[in-house]
Amino acid sequence: MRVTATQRAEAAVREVEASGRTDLVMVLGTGCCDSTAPFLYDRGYYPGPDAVAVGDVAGVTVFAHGWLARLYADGGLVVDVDEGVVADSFSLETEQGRRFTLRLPGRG
Amino acid sequence: MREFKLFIGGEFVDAASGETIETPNPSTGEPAGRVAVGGAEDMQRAITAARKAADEGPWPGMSPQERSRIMLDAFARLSERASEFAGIETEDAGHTVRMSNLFTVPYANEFWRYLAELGARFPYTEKVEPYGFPTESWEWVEREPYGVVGAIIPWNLPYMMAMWKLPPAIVTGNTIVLKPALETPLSAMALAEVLAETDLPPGVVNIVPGHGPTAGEALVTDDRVDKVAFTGSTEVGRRIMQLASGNLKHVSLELGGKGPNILLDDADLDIAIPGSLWATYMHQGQFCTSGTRLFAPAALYDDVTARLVELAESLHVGSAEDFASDMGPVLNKTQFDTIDRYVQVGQDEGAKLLTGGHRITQGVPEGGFYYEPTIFGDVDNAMVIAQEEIFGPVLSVIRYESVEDAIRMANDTVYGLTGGVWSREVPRALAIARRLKAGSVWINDWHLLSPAAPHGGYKQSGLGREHGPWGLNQYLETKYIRVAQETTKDQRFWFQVLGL
Repeated sequence: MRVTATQRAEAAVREVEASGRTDLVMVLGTGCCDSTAPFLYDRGYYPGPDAVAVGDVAGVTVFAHGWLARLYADGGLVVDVDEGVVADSFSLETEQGRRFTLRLPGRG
Repeated sequence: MREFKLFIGGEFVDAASGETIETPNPSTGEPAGRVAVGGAEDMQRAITAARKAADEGPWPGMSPQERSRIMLDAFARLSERASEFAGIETEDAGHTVRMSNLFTVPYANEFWRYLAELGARFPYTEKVEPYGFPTESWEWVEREPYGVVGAIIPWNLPYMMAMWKLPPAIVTGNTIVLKPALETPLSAMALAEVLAETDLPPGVVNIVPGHGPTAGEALVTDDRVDKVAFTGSTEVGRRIMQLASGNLKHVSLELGGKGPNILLDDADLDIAIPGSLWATYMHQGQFCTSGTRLFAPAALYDDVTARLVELAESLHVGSAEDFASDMGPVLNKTQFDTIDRYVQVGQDEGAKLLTGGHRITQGVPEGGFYYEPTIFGDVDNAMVIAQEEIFGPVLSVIRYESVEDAIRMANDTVYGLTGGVWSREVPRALAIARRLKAGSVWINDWHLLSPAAPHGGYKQSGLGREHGPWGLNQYLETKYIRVAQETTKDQRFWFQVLGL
């Protein structure tokens, strides 16, 4: 699995950093209402012993759980961001009225 | 438009920041209401109110029967206003009129009633098996409320989730701070208005919508909170476990699912086919208990898929507010894009799109996001669409040659919330149900749960069980009391050991 990011997703990560959140970690989380989506957490969030690094966004490492990374094998995903949405999650960008999402490479 | 403030300590108050937010109606994208957005400071005020009610208020010391009486009074008021609540749920969360009036609201009220009644007759004291070594004693176990509970619920079933979290927590004598999802906070706030009319003491129930990283974090990290109950995504569950570790809060979680649905070759297809679509398409699949992987015997595969497609294509998707709609909108654009991404992925990885797979724009309100009921055939259980929870109206049909293969594939998932088997021969289905690694398993049915029965997940679908006595125990601390029977000093076991 290879994860890249759009420029606006990178800008959103930097904005979270600028708000004073430190030691950021991004992890592709799964299940329930968020489906599979990027979660940006701070204070060196530990995604678990099975997590593997699959990319980075604006210098923040992106992790995926082992089963998910294996599922995509060599496939790629792009971290993007939806602006101006009501999105309740613990992911840090949501307090700024946006939500990180995943897109397929080359599919906008 | 409905407007609500935060409910803290029995009062309706503005957020400290003054911030409010419009929550969109999924059918139209237009505002359904406006709520105050609680921040960390508001959450701390709510915890202070809940702590005070737990430590100094009358609630924990009241008899369970008295707590139950107050809750049943609330039930009567909620029942009288059920159609109003159904209207809110339809506008705020996109539950079709039929779903909210016939199912989600009255069903949620039943959980409140049953758990309130169960709390009155629950055995808060338990016998301990006599054990005479090293000395005889009188001993028993008492169940006590933890104190303050923090609860966080998702957007898909806002009223039902509130009714799954509040009753077991408060009937057992706890106080609670509930954070409803910001996308769908209105029914929880309307519930607060009803509770404010009852004899429920101030601070027993506090309801504060807010952002996860501010209000949510403030709730789960505060040392004055004793227990956290969460329903939502698996990664937020992990985050909450870490954030709650400071004072080792008790944590219960209900998380994702990818329910395997096994159709046996003797199933009554006239029931099993619509039943399988009910398992997948209720609330457009925005349900963790959904049965999104259908295992069909190879010999029946063509017939089963043809029937599924015919029935799926007959479903009418439209505004949730239209009585004629079988299915309504998905939550919003983010949700729509996610569903659409998986439909692309499914085709890329070789699954066959049998029906659906597109946004509906004709005959529906412009501002909502409507997705065709979608079915993939030729799905391999190892594919992305069979492994990840899509949370949309997408069914994957997987062929199986032997029942053993079906069971193996059914359990080959990180989740374990639900499962199901369809067969005319119940003992045969039962043998399979027992081998499914899932917390709730249906035979010839789906989605229906009982407030008297436990619900929760195996594996990455969660920790703990809600409802029934199992659910009440999740909100109770266990205390062992031992009374010495010996009357003189030299009869004491420890007297000899320490030489006192």
